[in-house]
Amino acid sequence: MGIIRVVLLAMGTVCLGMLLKNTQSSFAMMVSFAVGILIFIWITKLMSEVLTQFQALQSYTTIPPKYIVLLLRVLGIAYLTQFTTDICRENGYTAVAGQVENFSKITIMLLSMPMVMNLLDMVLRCVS
Amino acid sequence: MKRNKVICFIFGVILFIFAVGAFQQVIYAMNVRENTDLQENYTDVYDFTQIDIAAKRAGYQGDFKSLVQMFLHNNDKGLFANLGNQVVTTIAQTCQSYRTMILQIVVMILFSAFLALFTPEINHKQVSELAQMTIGLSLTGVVLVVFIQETRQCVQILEQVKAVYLAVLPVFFSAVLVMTGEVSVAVYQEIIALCLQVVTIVFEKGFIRMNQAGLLLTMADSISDKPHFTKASKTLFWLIRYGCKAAFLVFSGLTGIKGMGAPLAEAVRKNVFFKALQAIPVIGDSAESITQVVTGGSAIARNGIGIAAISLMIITTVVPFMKMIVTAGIFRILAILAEPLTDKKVVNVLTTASTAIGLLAQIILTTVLLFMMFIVLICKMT
Repeated sequence: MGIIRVVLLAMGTVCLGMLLKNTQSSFAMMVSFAVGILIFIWITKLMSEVLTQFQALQSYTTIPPKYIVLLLRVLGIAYLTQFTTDICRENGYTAVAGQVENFSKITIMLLSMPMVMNLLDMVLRCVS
Repeated sequence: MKRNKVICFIFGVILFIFAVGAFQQVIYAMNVRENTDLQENYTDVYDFTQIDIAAKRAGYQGDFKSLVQMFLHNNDKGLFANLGNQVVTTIAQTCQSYRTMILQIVVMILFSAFLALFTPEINHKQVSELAQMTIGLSLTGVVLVVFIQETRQCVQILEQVKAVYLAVLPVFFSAVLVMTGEVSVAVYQEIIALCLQVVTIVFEKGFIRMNQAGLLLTMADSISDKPHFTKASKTLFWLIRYGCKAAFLVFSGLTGIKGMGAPLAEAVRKNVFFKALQAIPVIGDSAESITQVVTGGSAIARNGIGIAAISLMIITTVVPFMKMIVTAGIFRILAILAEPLTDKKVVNVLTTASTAIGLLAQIILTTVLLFMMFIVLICKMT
């Protein structure tokens, strides 16, 4: 089962990291980074299956497809940001983590601007 | 709240007593008819053409005269059985027709729950708010389409009921005129004219617009981060509910107070007139029996026309009314399903849509009950 594989890999990484931390701390950071990327790739494979199901359900909803694509892109940005900031904070780079967070917030805001403009158009049409 | 329930209960009891009294008069009039050998078709003297035209526009394909005859000869048993079947069919058809809308809303709820669960903590608030705004906008679109349809249906029903009522009134009052006099008829017509004005101005132009405004304010709340218009929309709905109850109480009181004096005065006048007539030789003895025949026949016609008019209003409004109730019920059930899964704003939109459509049904019910109440009270008081 996938979850058992992930759990075993994560436990193994933690043990290895603890062993390497005192002697080769840079290797410990690289090991945790590599395992994090591997697990992230497995997550994206799982998410792609979930998204395929959602695309099938999308035909039943009135949300325009471009907005669903937008929301999923925003979700992807949020996951990437979470992963990156966790790695940075783990290694003590809090400032870098903070900047990555700010960047992702502004990116999400830029991506959502077309939706906000559409909303404004709708409100102006209702009022006029 | 408790006091309002007590007042409504007392009023319901009074209305029930009046209704029983009115039906007793029908039975009495029918007995008089049997004893005095009246013609079978006393209603032949009345012209029901305008009523038939109005009834056809309202969706009733039958004939008003045959409806009156049906009640006078106690052949109405099949009428309401058919109506019961129609109501059940309507409920099934409404659920079927809204299947797509239900599916759309359920998928939106699931999508909202998915985004709430799977958004990482880092940008949780930002992503959640963006997702809620998207879902809120789409849900608003779906709910507004249904609400606008129901509002148009409500206005159409009110217009149809008014048209049927306006067509029935001249015929009804011509039967009432024989029983009472011009003054009583004028008094009742004045009250009914006021009621029609209230229905047109307050219900159609006032309450329905307030209902729309209340729903739109809740929709606006669903796409903002915090609720800003909750109290405003609740106040509007409160005004509509209590306005309907107040209209009912005011008009029943007005009819009771104004309607009691005039028929009594005219009855006294008629009594004096007929006593004077009886004193005249040759024609004096016949005057009373002729009067009994005429008034007995008019009572039959008046009550028959009144009951047929009430039945016609029920027949033409019950199916769309039930459809509105079912629609409101569907939204309420969706709100119950959404509550554990999604944001409060989505639940609020669905609950408010259910309330707004329920209020449209209440406006129709109040209008029909007001019109029915006038007929019952006039039958009782004359």
